[in-house]
Amino acid sequence: MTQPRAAQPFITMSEVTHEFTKDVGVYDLSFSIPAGVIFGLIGPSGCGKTTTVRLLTGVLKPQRGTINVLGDAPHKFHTRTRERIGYMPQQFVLYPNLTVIENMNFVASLYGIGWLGRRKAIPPLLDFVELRDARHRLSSKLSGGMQRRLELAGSLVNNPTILFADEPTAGIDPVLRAKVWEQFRRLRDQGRTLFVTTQYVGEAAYCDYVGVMHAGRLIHMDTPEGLRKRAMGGDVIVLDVDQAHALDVAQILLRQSIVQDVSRSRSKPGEMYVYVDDAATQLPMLLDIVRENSQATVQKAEEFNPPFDDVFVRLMEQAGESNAETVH
Amino acid sequence: MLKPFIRLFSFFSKEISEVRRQPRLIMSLLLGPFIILLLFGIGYQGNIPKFRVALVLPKDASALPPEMINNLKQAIQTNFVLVSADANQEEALRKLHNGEADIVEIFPSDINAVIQRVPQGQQSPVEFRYAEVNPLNESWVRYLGYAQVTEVNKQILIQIIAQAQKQSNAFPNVSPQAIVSPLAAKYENIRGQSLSFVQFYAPSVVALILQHIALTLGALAIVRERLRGTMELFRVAPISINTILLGKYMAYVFFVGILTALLVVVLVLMRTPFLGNPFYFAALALLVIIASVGYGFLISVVSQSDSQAVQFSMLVLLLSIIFGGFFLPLENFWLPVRVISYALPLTHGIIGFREIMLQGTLPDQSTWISLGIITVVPFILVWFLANRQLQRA
Repeated sequence: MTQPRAAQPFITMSEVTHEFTKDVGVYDLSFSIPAGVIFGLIGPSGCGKTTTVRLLTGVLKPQRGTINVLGDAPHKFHTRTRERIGYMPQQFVLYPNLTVIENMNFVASLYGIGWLGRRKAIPPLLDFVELRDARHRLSSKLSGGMQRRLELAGSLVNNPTILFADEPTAGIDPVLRAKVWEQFRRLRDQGRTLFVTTQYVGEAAYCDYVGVMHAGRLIHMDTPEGLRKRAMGGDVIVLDVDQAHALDVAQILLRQSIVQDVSRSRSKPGEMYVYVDDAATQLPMLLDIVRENSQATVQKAEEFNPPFDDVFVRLMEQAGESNAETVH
Repeated sequence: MLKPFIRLFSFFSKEISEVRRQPRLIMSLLLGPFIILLLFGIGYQGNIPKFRVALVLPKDASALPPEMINNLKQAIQTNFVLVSADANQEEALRKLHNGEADIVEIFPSDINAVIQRVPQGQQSPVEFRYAEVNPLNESWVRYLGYAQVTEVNKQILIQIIAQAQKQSNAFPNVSPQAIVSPLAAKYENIRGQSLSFVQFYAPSVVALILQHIALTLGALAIVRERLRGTMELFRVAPISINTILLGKYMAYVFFVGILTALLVVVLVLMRTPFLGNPFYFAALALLVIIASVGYGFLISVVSQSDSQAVQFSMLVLLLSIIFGGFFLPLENFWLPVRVISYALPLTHGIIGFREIMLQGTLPDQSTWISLGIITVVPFILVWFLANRQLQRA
């Protein structure tokens, strides 16, 4: 498992276990996250993402192992440490009988932000989540997506050093999701650290580091690129040749030592996916081999970034196989 | 430095805004008990129950002087409604069985035998037959029967003495009434006159409404946060259980305090006396509200849902009406059971408010001390339980 580069770790988990009932919980979580990165935790529903966030925010106390966030054990956070943390729970927990602005004022006041500070901090946040026009609307009258946006704005109101966001983009439309990630990147660029869980696997691509959870365990932790490679067994090159020579080309490539595998597209007969160690260096070599050994016309040859959905499915399959092997 | 205050007031203003947004809840909490008790005050007559009586006269009643029969009927009608007066006992009992009469009053069948037994020192019974399941009504029947027989005896004596005066010419100028009843009751209310039922019950209504609203608001306060998941947010935010509880206490005390002031103004406009010191009234009301909010919070931390919290609140309301001295005097309860009464803020509210408003006196120390205890104890319990819940949010 690749750990993020060793700058000063802001978040450290070491062999942390918290079990609710038998086989339900999180087990042996160990990782470090440096300051100023977006860390995305992905995994299927019920795999332990929220439990991990709750452990990191001090809502739960680990039964085994140690956690360190900003130099404190989360369940013993000092008030000053708490003031540096933003937290967006998975459910909408704000008050349906309060308006958007009243809810924002309440959350800001919890962090000790006075009237003037609130006047300064809240309007830009409402602009960011596009709720300024709805600021006098009761929260109960907001749509699910708007409620998530309000909660996101609430979690940022204290200008946190670390933001823990549990599925911040759930129920938000794709356009706004992109904006949210843009804002997350902006926060990251300002030096803040973001710990984000998501079920939208594609969002892993927006993160600097991604942890993949499966059945309460962290099975992979890497950069998005690293995970892609890990899932696919290397880099993937997509090669599109004329249909008549496609089979020949596939057979020629399969004989090459630098090629791990070749799979042909079912929908496009001339298209094939070539699995290699390093696409950047090996793509020109492949083109030379095709040119020298066949009459095929290469119409397209480029590195292929498989969608993260596919990467995730592969990783889950691998985890399933690995579990099955362990059992046997 | 201001941060703790900002945090404290965040709860204060949040709670006020939330309550303000639920006018129906407040109206039902305020107007519900108020209207019911107002109707009670207007509708309750507080009189002795009017029993319907079928009178069975002696068979030889025609031999008695008509004046005596009339006096007897008048004596009965003082406290009873006379539905029939004849010698037919079977018909009277039929009326009792059919529900046409509540009591059958049977005089001895042979009136001459009554007179003959007197020199032998024997009494003759006047029977009262009734079919009553209400123990209070039975007590009334017995008491009124006794009063009536006493009155009839008096009438008989007056008749006999009048006759004797005529025959013997003794004490010719003395009225037979004075001879039979040398003592007569004389009443004087040194406070002027008693109050109407509405006025008398007004302080109790204030105490009841105040306790009920404070307790219900408190009962919903923490359980809702827990169910909504806000406790998780509080667990991560830089606040402690002290901030949460104090902020909520402040908000509810402020809100219920304003309602109490409005209620008192309304009652004073309705000519309910307010003879005492408003400062002491405010201090007592403050303690009653804090204690009630504390009980509400206690309900809230042990409840699993909104509806359970409301059910517990209604249970306390019922408990308060029965044991709080609202209708039934505290002295009527067995001493160990009175512990329940004294554990209720309402009991002390009723005692204190009545004294301050109706008598213009100050409640004694025990009222203040008891209220102090039931203010502090729930707070400690709530603090302990709510803190545990926050740590496990």
